[in-house]
Amino acid sequence: MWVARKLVRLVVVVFAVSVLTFLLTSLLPGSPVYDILGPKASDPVLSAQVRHDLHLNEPLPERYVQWADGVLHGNFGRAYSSDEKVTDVIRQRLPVTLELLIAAQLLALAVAIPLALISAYKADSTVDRAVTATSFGMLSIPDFVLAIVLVFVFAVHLKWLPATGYVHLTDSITGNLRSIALPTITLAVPLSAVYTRLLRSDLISTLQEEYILMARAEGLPPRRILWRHALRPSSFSLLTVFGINTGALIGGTVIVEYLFALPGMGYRLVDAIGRREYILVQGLVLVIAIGYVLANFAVDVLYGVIDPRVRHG
Amino acid sequence: MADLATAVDIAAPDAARLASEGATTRPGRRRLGITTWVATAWIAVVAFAAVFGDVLPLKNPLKSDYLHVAVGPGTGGHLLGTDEIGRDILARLVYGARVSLTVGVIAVGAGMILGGLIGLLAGHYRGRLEATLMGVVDIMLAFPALILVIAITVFLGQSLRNVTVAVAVVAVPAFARVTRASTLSYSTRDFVTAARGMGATNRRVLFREVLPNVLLPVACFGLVAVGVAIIAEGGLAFLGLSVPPPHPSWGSMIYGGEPKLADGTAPFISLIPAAIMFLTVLSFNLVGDRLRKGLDVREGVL
Amino acid sequence: MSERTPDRGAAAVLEVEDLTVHFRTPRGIVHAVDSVSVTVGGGEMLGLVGESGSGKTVMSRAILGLTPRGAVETVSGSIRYRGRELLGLPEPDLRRVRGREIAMIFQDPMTALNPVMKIGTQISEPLRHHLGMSRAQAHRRAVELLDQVGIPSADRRASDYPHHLSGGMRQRVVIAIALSCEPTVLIADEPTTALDVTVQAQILDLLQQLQRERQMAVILVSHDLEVVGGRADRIAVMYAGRIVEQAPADVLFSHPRMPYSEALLRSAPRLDQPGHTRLSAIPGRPPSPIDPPPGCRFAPRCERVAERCRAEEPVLAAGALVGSGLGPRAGAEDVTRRHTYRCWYPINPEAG
Repeated sequence: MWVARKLVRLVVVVFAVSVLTFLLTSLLPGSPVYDILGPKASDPVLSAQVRHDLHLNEPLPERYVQWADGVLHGNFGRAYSSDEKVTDVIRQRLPVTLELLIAAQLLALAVAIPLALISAYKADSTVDRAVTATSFGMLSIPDFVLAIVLVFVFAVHLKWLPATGYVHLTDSITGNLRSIALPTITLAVPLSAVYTRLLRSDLISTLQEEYILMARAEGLPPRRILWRHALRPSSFSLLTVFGINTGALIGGTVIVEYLFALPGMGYRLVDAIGRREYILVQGLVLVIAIGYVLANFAVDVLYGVIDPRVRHG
Repeated sequence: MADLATAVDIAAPDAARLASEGATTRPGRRRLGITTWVATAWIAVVAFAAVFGDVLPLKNPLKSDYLHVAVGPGTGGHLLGTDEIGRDILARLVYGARVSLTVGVIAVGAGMILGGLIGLLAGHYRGRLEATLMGVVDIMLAFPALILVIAITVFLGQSLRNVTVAVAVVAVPAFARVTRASTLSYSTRDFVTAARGMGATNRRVLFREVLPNVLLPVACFGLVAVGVAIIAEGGLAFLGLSVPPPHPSWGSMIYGGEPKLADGTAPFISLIPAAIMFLTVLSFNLVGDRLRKGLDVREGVL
Repeated sequence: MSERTPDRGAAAVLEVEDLTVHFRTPRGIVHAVDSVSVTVGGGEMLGLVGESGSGKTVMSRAILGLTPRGAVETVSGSIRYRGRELLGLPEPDLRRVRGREIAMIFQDPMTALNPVMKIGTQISEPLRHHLGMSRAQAHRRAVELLDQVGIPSADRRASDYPHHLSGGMRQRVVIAIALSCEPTVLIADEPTTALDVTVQAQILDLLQQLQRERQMAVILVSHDLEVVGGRADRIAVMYAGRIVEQAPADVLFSHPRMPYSEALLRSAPRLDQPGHTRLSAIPGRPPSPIDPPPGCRFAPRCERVAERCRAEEPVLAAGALVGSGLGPRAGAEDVTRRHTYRCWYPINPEAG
């Protein structure tokens, strides 16, 4: 079954990524001993201790196997300097990133779909041109610029929303929504621009198909034709990119998390890289890669759902 | 980087579609709109500034003018004002352009050549070569791009060269995918089969028939990628991971001016470089899009 | 307006008068349809025959107001459905006519059906919209319709997607969709062109059967006289955007007046001719629709061409009603037996 084949590929890619990450962190220049101990690395006893703790004296393949074995048993190791369990870090940080990601994607879709429908239906009209021009503009704004401008307008000037900080969903729903509002908008703006353009382009193609003419000949109203007849066949590019973005965003929210001080995966990962916490880096990257691959897998499966022709292909 | 991933996947099916609908290397016949000309002109200006910055009559971008700290455009002989420690903004913009364009053009260019080659070979020769090459590409793509770039700059040290390398590394798999999609479409078309039928070897066919046609869709993607790369460098600079201070970079200028934006005292310090970056990225996007439209015969029918 | 006759249906249900459709293109104004007039009576099948580019598709689409909006330069004339003017009707009103009163089926069933919607759903769409049926009701009716158009195991088929069906079956589905709201007029634009020869007859038989059962007026558009031959009650021949001859089918086949019609008849391969008989094709090509020349548009290819043909365009003349013994000016004309043609030197001079 085609699903099974894709699953196999998924596993292979994840495995390869884990090996790659491991190699990268292990082979990169700079001695972890020095990074961790600092000037105290000259002390032979201390540095031997660190080397032992990190299994640095053992051959690479063995170290990988040890780590991988641990992972498969749910033990991702502990970050050396802070002694946190990596799994705990993941458990704390991942939900934040996921929430931001999901909110941004949903917002982007909620804006893009209606815009694209109107734009495609009235192709080349003033409305359409305005939408296209705005999309272009929104695509070209760097995310950090948008972030600081939004903060400037909404947090500093209007004081409607907080500039930084995160409130957990469990603590307060309104607080949570307010704290992710600006970061969500920052992420959603370029996303919605891309989605609008993609969907509009595909819709315009679809609207030239004969089955749309047939639907018009049946006397169906334009709204119905757009939503029920044109939207589904036009969703492929959108779906592909949506899925890929979902995967890519898990690692791609770094800058936004940093700017808005949100305790998410990306932020923590960059931090870990800076502090040379290799074990933590390995675990986090692995999780991100799994997320990416899973997202792509889901996209492939969804293709089959949306377009029945694919199931037999 | 959501944008790069997106750009790949818009470009790949696009390139394939353009190929399958019969677009060839005929340049767009319709008149180029004024927006495109303006965009091209802007890119030319920025490129000129980047290349000839040294010989232009600018103030020293590294020297602080203590008499005129954070002053607005036009005062004290500073055409665009000075930043938070008194350095001339215009001069810093020009030198910053060098950073942005180096990363943008060179990193993307390298990625295009290497990634393009991989994609060409994979798409043309198919079989096991394709499976291996694209397998590696898929794995590279599974790596979160931004993280990889950050990791490379952290581990290799901050410098313009390393940032460029990092972006190039991330660009390679993206170009490989796009080029392969485009190559696949062209390789299966009749004129290629005809060439083969006339006795051309596989390699000859690849370089004389397929490559010229693949170049254009990939170049369109390349232009958009330059925009993405410029933004990426800006983001890195914001995180403090790009070229180390005091060397100017648009991203670090925006970062440096942020406090004065937040308290509203001198918003232009951030906003001027932000606007310049925005305009540059927009120009690349516009030109890339116009190039794409120029190839798409079908849109003209409407 | 004509009176009821015992053997044919009611008054003219669709009257097209002087319909003109011109398109604006970068190379000039395309005269797709020029002053075309046809009438269809209730329960009657009108065959509209012409080469590709003769304007027959544009005309059939224009009836329902489906011509592409952007490029249209002129649309003038009159299209009356049961006396009600359709041309210039605002969209919402036109939508009430489409599907419900006048329906259309298209040439290629592969592209006319939405690939990602189940066929049962596609049939239900107009039912739910025009007749306000609930989903369940519409589904039941859809299955009935599938049955009526000859699709076996209709109930299961309703959950299939178009790509599960063969070309002939898909066209039956298209017919089912068109007929779902019991329209009075059906426009069939080349319904069999994209199908295998063996299937063509089946579909045409189906159309004829459904037409008789529902007393529907049908306009059968085709480039192929064979398709139209045994089935239409009347035939209108179109050339370069004009109707050049219109007559009852039997009359057209036996006594065509316009040379083009006769050439068309001759060019169809016949089984009763000896093998290896050369097919007689009409030499030359139809004129460019941009800026048509003065004079008869068929002149460049006509065997009987004369000076006048090139100078003046022939007007539509009425011929005698063959077999009626009546001259062209007899009273009590039966519209459905009228024979009109556009030629200065018609062939087969009138009897009596």
